[in-house]
Amino acid sequence: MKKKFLKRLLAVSLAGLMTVPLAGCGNEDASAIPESSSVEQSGTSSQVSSEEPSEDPVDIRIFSAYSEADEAESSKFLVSELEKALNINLVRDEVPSSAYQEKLQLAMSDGDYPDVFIFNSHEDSLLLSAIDNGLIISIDEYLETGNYPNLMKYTYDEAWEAVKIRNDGMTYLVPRTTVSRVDGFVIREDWLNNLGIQIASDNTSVTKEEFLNIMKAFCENDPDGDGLRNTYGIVYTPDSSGNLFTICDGAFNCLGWQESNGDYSYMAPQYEIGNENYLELLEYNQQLYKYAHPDGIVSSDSSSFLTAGQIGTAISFAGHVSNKETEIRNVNPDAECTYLAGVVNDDGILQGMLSYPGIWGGLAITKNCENPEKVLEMVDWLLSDQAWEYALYGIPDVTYEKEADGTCRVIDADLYKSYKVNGIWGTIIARRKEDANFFIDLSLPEEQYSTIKGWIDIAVAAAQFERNYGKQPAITTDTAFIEAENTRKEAITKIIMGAMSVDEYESVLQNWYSKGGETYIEQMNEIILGIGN
Amino acid sequence: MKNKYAKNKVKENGKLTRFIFFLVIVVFDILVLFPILNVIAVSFSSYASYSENPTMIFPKQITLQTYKTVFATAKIWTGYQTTIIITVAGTIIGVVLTVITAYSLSKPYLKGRKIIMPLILFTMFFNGGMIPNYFLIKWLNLYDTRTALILPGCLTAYNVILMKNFFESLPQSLMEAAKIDGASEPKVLFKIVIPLSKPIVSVITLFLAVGYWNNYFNGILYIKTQAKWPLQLVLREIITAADSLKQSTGGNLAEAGTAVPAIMLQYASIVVTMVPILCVYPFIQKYFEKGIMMGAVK
Repeated sequence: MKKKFLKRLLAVSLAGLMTVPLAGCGNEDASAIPESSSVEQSGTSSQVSSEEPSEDPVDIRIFSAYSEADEAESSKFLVSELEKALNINLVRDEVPSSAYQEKLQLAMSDGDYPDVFIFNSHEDSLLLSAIDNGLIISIDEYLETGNYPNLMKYTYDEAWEAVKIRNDGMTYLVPRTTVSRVDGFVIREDWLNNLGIQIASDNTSVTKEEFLNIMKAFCENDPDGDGLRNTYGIVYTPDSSGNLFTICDGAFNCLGWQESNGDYSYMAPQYEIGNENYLELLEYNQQLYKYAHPDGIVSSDSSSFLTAGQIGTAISFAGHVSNKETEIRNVNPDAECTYLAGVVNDDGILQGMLSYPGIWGGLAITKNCENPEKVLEMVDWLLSDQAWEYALYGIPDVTYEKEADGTCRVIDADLYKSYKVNGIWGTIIARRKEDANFFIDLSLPEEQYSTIKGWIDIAVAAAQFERNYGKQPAITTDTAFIEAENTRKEAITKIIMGAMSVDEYESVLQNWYSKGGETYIEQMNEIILGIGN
Repeated sequence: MKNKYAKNKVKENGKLTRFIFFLVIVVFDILVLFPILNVIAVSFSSYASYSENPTMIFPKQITLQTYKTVFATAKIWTGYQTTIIITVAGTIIGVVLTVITAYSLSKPYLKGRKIIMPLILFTMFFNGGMIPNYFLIKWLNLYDTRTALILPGCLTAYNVILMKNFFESLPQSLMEAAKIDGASEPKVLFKIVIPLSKPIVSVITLFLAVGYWNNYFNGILYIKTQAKWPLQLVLREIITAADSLKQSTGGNLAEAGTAVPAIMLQYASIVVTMVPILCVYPFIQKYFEKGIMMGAVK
């Protein structure tokens, strides 16, 4: 009995041992089957990995605000094409956008880092801390040795400077490009017509006096014709610190940090004692505020006032004008909106300041990433002609078709919109500089599309980068300086609201200088002078 | 005569006092009810009527379109599923654990009671914090599981103390009599103590259920997969979409886009999240009123 049992046990054990190498062979066989990969290219070529296609796809794990349930069909298509083209397997963490910073903090203290973190600002304190702790690697080595023609072609030069965050000459982010432009205003065209006001300029801009008169007319002359004095020109809403900020800065040549003829090589008007332009800007905004909706200070969203028909103007990106018109028509079916590019300066030039140097944060590659060059290839491919076509138009022969001359035509507007609802994931990662098509509904009729494109082109042409490229000096973390800066911003709020006179700004600025402002200016000059060196 | 006059004066003062109290309570009720009625009214109204009167308490131009849109959102359903699972499971586990713990601690002859109680009390005031809790869940291999949403909150010091105090107020003679008749401790607990403890058990049940239903932060900390997000986290995503977009884009209007849920969608989401737990409360209200006072006073 005992012998029989032992024999059976031996037989089972041997059988088990024999299955182990068979399983191993099975796995090897599976990995030996080559995966088909296709790269469709036209125009600028895209770098494809030199690895043999028979290898397993490389996992690239990305931390970004993403929801699989909400992903549009066009987005899924683009991702699948990306994975095929580069033989990668994209693993995307599903991070709630409402808790992005908390999840980012947790992920960075976790130890189980993804390959890529997406940061929404190149000045994010978590990013700076991660760089200092060695979590984020510099990508200069890969940029020098690799070939990423699209990445270089479609990214602003200023953006590459801005992502040298630690001023050590090292590049720590792959910049995520945004279209650099100066937003104008959406304005109620029906109100203008009712009041007999015309915007005559070629570039849909107005002078300072004209703008002030329009705001006054919207406030006092019953533009909606209901017999009630219930309309205003504009609304001032607070920024994230709860303070109001000036508008129409470009009309007064206030363009942030620029070259200066004073004591410092570079200066920003708001920090220069006795800067006439800035004082005039404050006075102008004080006058404008008389025609502004009084409830703006307690709201964070100007759109609701516009939609409700309480104001006639709001700062807006040109590409959103038709959407805003649609929203307003839910309340007033006769509403019409148009775009006002902005307010020109005394020389008739439309200009505005840009703090962000053509980027909206970027991709930070972590030390855990085994294939950093794959990440750069991914971004480069997303900027290639083929991928960009998918990003703009969706799925070929489903949402769009390509004509013989190479132009793309949306087949069905509703299908196109439904397939692109919630946006394309790939464009969260990469987009082309100065290509405003990304922001425009390409299913619009040709005339409407041309109008919007024209507005955006005007906004792009008016953009002037601040020379610090969004970088801030170390003193901005000093408590006394923070307090002085808050005091300065509060003073601007009071001046705009009429609770303080413009003349008092100088004394506020003197206080700001004594509490670290001078150091701030010195450090900022060092930063700007160090850029490009 | 003087006494009669004095008595009348006291009566009038009493009426005046009651009237003032009544007014204060009415004003307070209005302040509390108004936001709820406003949210419900707006969620059933059209956007045009909301724009005319955002502070409405009666719906105008009634439409169910908003609710259709809400229920067409897949994550609302997965949120419901997760929240119902963790609320039911968490409440049951929490009540069982709390009863067992509190009953044991209510016995003066429990060895080590004088050490255990202060340790439990300590946890009411001191906590490891967000990061240590996060690592604890990871090390227990509970990350991205619904269990991580259930276990951390199921046994709290406050509930244990509340229930322990209630058990101590029960007549000990009943339990002694049962023991004399041969009943074991578990039998005493299940046959005598628990039937007498319906008020406090209802209170603890409600505390736990509402706590689980409303919790979203544990979802942020411990859950990676969207399909396991609790309902409150889904709601937070919908409600704060506008602010999240504005903050993440740093004021870049083009990036913020216009894909922000309408105010009615936000309000409908609030109603959808709020209604189920409101439906539970009336059934245990009478026990809640008794129990909260009994446990608290002791």
